Amino acid sequence: MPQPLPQVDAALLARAQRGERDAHAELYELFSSIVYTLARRMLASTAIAEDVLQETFVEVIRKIGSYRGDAELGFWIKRIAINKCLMHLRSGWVSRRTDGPDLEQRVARGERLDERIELERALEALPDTARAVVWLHDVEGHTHQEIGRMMGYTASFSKSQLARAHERLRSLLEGEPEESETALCTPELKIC
Amino acid sequence: MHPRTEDLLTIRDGEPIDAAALERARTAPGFAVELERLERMRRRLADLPPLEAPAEVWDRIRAVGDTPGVPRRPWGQWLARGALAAAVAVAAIAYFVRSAEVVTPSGPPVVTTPATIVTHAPDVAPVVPASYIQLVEESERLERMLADIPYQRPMMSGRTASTIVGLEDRIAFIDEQLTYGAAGGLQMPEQRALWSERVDLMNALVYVRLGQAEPGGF
Repeated sequence: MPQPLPQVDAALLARAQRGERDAHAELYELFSSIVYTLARRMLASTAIAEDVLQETFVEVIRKIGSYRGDAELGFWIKRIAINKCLMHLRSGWVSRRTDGPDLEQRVARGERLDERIELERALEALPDTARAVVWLHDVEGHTHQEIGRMMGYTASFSKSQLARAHERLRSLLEGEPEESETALCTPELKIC
Repeated sequence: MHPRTEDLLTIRDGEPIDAAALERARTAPGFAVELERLERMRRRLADLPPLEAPAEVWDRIRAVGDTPGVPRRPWGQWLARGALAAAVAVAAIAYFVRSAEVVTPSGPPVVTTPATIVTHAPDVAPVVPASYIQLVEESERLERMLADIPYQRPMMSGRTASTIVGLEDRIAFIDEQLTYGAAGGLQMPEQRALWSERVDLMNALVYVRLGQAEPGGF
């Protein structure tokens, strides 16, 4: 399950909509971990996840006055964050990132290299699009139709990326070969 | 023959599946084991712990509000200029698309001929008009083209940055409309109009990015 979304009371929302700085800080306190986790898992880059966190809250603060409550505030904020993540994926800079010693640092600090860390490492090793799709679908609960729309592709594209992501995860975690018919890279589409 | 991962995931997620594919998957060796493995993987992913946001990011966000000249993205000013620049870019692209079908910026040509229609039977209901599919496919093609642009300078002119921010924001807005609109019963003509605008905006974004990628570009 993704992190449960905190409930925001009407008074806090009203204060944030009036532009009160303390209320903005409270919203950041409530949602920053959720946004950062989403960005970090989707993009596998600490630096870009920080950028997404910053860009998301700048936009939240800028637009909260026009938030009408159609969707729960947490979903609204998450949706902004997902769009920011997809913008970064679209820009192509994510795949050129050079950071990523996060796991190594944690191991160096003495954290046990357990199954969870192996999974985090495997997730980070996935190609950008496949990682974003598997996170949005399997963890955030978006449908293939939604993911296709968000990414500017079709639902079947999302389905095939999910299948490839799972095959790759299996291969990374269990050392088993991937199915050849759905090799992870699609050179003709230049999607890897 | 092993069951296909895509079929197994479809079954795992309780989505509609072709009867023949379902039968093929169910009778394949290791079906139950594979299904359980995929379900377990989903649980493991969902159980990954939340990460704590770095404390200094809030200071950066506050700084954006405090010092209008300093922020990475001075939103109000950029958006106003971006919207204008985007409108100009879209109009220019639309003109080129309709008059010549080929846009030739200073970089590689942007071919705007509609992509071949490929009907994905499980995803596209028969009532969906071909023009709608064309728009979605064209949008996909432009996304791929954008992802394929080899080099994007981190430093760019203010006008280029404004244009890109304006276009990206508008695309994000349209994507939001398409996602929530579909759930709320948005009709096909409206969806088609949104996809049409998305394609225009993507065209403009590709055009700007290609120009930016050129040595000595804007």
